Amino acid sequence: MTDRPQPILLGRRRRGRDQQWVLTALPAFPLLLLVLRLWYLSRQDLQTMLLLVQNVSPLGLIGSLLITLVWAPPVFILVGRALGGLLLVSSIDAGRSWLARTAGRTPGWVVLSAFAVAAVTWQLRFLPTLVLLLVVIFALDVRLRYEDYPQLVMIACIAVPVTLSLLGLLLVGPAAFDALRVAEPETAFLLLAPVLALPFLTGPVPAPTAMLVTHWVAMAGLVIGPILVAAIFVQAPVLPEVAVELKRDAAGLPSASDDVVVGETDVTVVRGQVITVDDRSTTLLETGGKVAFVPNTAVISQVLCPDPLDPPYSAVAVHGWQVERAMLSWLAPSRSVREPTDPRCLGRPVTP
Amino acid sequence: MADEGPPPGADEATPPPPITELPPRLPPRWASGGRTFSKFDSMSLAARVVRLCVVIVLLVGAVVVATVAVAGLGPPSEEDLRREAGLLDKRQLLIGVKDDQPGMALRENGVYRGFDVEIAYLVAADLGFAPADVRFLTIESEDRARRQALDVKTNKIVTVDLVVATFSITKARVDDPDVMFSAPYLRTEQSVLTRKTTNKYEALSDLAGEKVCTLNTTTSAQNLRTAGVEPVGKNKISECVRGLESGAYAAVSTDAAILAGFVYRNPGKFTIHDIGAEGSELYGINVGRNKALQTLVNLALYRSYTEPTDRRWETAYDDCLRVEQPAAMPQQVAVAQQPEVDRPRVRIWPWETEP
Repeated sequence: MTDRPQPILLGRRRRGRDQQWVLTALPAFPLLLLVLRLWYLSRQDLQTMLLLVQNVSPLGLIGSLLITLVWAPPVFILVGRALGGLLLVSSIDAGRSWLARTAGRTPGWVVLSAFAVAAVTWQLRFLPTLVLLLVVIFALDVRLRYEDYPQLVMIACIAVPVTLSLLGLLLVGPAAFDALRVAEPETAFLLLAPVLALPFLTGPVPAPTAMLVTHWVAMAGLVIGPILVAAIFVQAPVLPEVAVELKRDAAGLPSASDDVVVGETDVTVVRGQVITVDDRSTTLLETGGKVAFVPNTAVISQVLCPDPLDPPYSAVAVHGWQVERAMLSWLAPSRSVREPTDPRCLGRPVTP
Repeated sequence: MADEGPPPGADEATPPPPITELPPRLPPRWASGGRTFSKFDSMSLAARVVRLCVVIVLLVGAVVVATVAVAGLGPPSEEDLRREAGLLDKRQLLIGVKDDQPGMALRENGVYRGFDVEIAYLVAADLGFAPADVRFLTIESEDRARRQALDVKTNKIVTVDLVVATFSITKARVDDPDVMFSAPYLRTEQSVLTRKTTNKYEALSDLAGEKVCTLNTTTSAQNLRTAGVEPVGKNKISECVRGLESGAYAAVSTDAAILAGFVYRNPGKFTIHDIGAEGSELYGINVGRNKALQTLVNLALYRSYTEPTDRRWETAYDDCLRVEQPAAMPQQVAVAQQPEVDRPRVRIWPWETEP
């Protein structure tokens, strides 16, 4: 058969032709995120936000955006592609949906790069889902393109998924059992559900329901997804967190009025984020949202306060790999956990 | 949707009726309307419904898991608790201890020493306070529930953050809304102290008719009353012991861990009696109404209990209480093992959970 089926572009609607402007609008979302982040940081105070805009480096912001959200684009690409594929094989009317059209146009290299990024940045507990998505995309593609080769379809849609599913059971089965034993149903679900569901997702669903479980789910995801992404990003740090030890008198602060504290009281600690440093003063955004201009002569010492190392929620590990670690964090060198916190970062001076 | 289409190859035999809306490049079976994708779908409707169910289960599961992951449901981390407990930006940790109980907490030349003090340092260190940032204040028995201590330097009454002052965990105290106990850190029992004698007291009721001194608002006073002894109440145990020395009282009754210190410090003066009192006294730390602080204190005790390399509790016991044991024989000063601590609801590193 020379005329390969091309079911993806159904041709009936080609509204996508004059939508080049979407590409121009694409950077708007990250830009919006960055502005939102600064607004959040300034605690909704416009003056503080203006000061931040003046001094915050765009590179720092984008760096923070990248590190915090690098896992997000693969979610949209892979889930969208898999749902689109499912819609294409399920319904003859698939071409009406933008989801199916976009899925049909997404080139293979985009899917593969998204997979590669996800493989190193997603936590281990999401990797079964990632494999599920890739296999489903592959199998549905084979079903669409090579429907006249039953052996090929059989291999791609039954043999490969069943083999991978069995392999997956061997790999994550014990860990899922552990998760159930320590009462973490969500971890067990994340590990086990994709593995068990894999052989069932490589074919069509009933045509009348196809739009509902693919197109409309993707629509809901498009509405809720960016909100979730924004909610996660506004909490990412964009300025370095420091603690500065100050001489009270030189900083123009009133002397301590707390009678209970004995010992040296003309040293105090200000915790906050450094906005800028010039030759006269250091500008700090204190934890309460107040901007402090600290004269450099009053500074006794300062220390960078590292992010508190956050213990994982889950106690489960798959063959020694903790389920909340991504491959990237596993490969890259990290700080030692046992480092004690500097007292200055807790608001207590070290200068006697 | 009819999935039982004609078998592959049948399309060529019988040309499908032309459908004009569909573009000509579509595969023939699509155009015929009898579309099947492969032979395996001939069982199709059932398979499609099963797939639909799986898709729905996965989608619902994904929503639930995403909610759990984004909301960060689960126990708080140590950092969260420190913030919640108000420990950040706190200059000094104020701890109320006794000042007249050798072995437990004794103030000499302005320095507090003893088992309670060591435990206070242990807890403070895990709360993030260096020894220099801990300030001890003397607290009396009756003020322990309200955490009111006298600051001798400024002559003011202040509320302390923690009370580590031989404070036994009892039901009545647990019911007091002002008192919230940590896990126990020492197990001892009630005992009786007399001047050097060969007489033996084997029950609290043996003291009936004698002048017995004890501390006000303590479990010992209640136990004595239950045994039919009307005790003389004092605010400081050192006053009782001084009265015993001068002959004003026949006996002093309180916890063995407190009395053993006086026997050890004054060799040949006193005798401690191993009375057959039932039940043990479990000392806890009063954290007031601060729930987050309670969890943090429990975490410190839990770490000391589970961590094999953490010898701070054992060292404190050896230095303060074990040395008193020979002088206190046959009364046991206190159980030489830290009371068991349940794992607090804190997100900690996986390797910290192994006992």
